[in-house]
Amino acid sequence: MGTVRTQLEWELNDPLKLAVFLFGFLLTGLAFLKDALSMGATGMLDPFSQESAVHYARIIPRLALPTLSQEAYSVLVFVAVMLSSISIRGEMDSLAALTVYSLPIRKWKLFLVKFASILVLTTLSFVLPYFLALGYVLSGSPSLLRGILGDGVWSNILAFFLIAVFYAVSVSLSIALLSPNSFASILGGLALLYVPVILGASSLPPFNISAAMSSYLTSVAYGMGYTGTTYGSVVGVGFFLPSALLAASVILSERRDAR
Amino acid sequence: MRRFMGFFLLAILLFTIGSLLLPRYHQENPTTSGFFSGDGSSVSVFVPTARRVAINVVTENGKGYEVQVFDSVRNRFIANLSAMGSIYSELELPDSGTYYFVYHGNGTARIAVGTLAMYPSGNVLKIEYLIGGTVAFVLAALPWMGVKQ
Repeated sequence: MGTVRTQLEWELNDPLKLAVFLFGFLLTGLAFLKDALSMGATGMLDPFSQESAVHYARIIPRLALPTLSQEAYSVLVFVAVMLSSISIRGEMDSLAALTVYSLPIRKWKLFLVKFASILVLTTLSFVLPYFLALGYVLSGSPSLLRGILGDGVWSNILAFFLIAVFYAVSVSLSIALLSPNSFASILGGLALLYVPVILGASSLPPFNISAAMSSYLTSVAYGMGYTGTTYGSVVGVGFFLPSALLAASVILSERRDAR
Repeated sequence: MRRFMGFFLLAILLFTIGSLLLPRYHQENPTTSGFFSGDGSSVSVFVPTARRVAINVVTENGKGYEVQVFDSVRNRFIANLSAMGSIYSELELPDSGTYYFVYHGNGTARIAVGTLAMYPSGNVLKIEYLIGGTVAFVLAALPWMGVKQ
């Protein structure tokens, strides 16, 4: 395992990838900050009583929580595509792959290490800004922040974001593996991941994920118990497709050469 | 992993600077409205930041009535507006939270709450400066950690 760990650290120390990570972190952060600053929700309570007012004040704002916005998804797509193109194709184009592939490590293991490092960088640059933005904006009232994100709401938001990241990373990785050079890899990945936004396809990310997120937040704000059904619309394209693509890419990576 | 840590801390530091600057350039003035159906009914408004709001209440009821503003996060009443006819009043909402406008009077009334200006409260600024300062300090100390003794 020593080689795998060294390889992972080497992948995470590449300044080019870290620059993309920094870029993605800041732009996603700005997008989520903007969303968090424009939150708002209105409700009615009749008759008014202090206890129920305090109770609902921590639950109803869940309706206003920012979901996966189009700006944030655009940055996510850019980061995932750039990272996988640099990691898979850019390495071959710059002939660094000649050195990497002479290491005593199987090719599929090398591919999985690359996948893991890209997934870690993309997740950090996408999920952390959301919670940081929300935390900064609402940090004046810590009890409100705890109330909104409590009861497993934060872990469900995390799950929806991980689905989006997994989808973007594995689609862009398989495009990078199939394309003849880095330019084609960047262009193809961006095009494939961004076409659903232009077409407004409601059954593909990002729109199906943001729709599932808002229906989850609505049901949890009004105290509906079972929320597992909201994952039904995203599990096909958000979990099955990326996993299948990942498996196909692992098999394909065995047959790939260093040039 | 030192370069990774450096970039990670730099990202958080720049993000904190961005969050200090963004409210200055990103101003929104949303207006929300609600309906009071009778004595003791209330309308709640959730706001993410401290802000200055303009409150408009209109009613057909000719007698006097009053509207109390309740801050549900800090659990206290912050204002008490009483009038005959309609109300226009400007009010400071001290921090993020859910505010209830409670109606005491006869008949029905309508309320509109418009945002005049939004800004981070003192507590938010304190936390942002604290986290930003800590991250910048660790970032400055990072080169020493790799030095061989």
